[in-house]
Amino acid sequence: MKKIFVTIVALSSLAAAAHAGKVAFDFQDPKGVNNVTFKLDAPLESINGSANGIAGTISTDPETLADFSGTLTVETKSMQVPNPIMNGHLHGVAWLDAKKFPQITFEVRKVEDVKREGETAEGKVTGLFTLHGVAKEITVPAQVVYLPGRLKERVPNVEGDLLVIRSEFTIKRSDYGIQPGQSEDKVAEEIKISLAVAGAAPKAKK
Amino acid sequence: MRMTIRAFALVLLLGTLGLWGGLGGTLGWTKTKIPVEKVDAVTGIKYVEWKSGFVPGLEFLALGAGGAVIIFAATLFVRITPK
Repeated sequence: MKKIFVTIVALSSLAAAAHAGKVAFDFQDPKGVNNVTFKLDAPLESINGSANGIAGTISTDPETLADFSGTLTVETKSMQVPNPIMNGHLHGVAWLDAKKFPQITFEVRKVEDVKREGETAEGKVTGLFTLHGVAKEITVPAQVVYLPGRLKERVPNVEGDLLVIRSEFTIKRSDYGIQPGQSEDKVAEEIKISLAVAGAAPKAKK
Repeated sequence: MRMTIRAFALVLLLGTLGLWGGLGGTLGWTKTKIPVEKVDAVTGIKYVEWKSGFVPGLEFLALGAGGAVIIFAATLFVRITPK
């Protein structure tokens, strides 16, 4: 009995140590600065749009910036393009079906090849990307910038840190069941995605 | 009567071209939201703010010019007899 108790305590201590120093950054941004832009080439003109309905939490140890966990979500309805008819199609059943699939998510699984320089780190992030109800594991390049003590510049009177994540990658819409093999003369198969988001970690008041 | 309809077709064509040019027409699709790029001073994040606006595109031009051509063509083939 004593042996089991000691083992449990030891395992708990190990788990606690593994998570020690990890800080959770909240990516909900009421100012609408956090955004994802997307670009699809088309014969008439490329379709450029953006989305700012971003939420989620990413945890990392600011000391190392090497280990990350958490999920980022984008509200499908927040995706916008300049043409009103195209906007309707984008959210409609034939394309992203925003009612049925209200969120696009990226769940971080692992981070590799991290190179750190000061408060900036770059690496390859592997995660589960879910779009249009289809989940696929993808690996994307990402840059992370840790801004200690800068939260009060965004939210007055709130002490804390910021974490900025940037990433650019390309996906194929057919991989996610979005009109596979159809309308390729009007809407490109490849979608270039660019993510730029800042998460906030307020410091607990003493 | 025929000349009046043809004059209307010409006005429609010129009006469409004038509006298209005057409103900063684009050779792409019509836009009712204009993206304005901004930069967040703290994080350096570039983001887009959407403003309401109207920039006529090729389909606006095609609709106006196409309508004018159809009206003009109609005067060539339809017999108009004044009462």
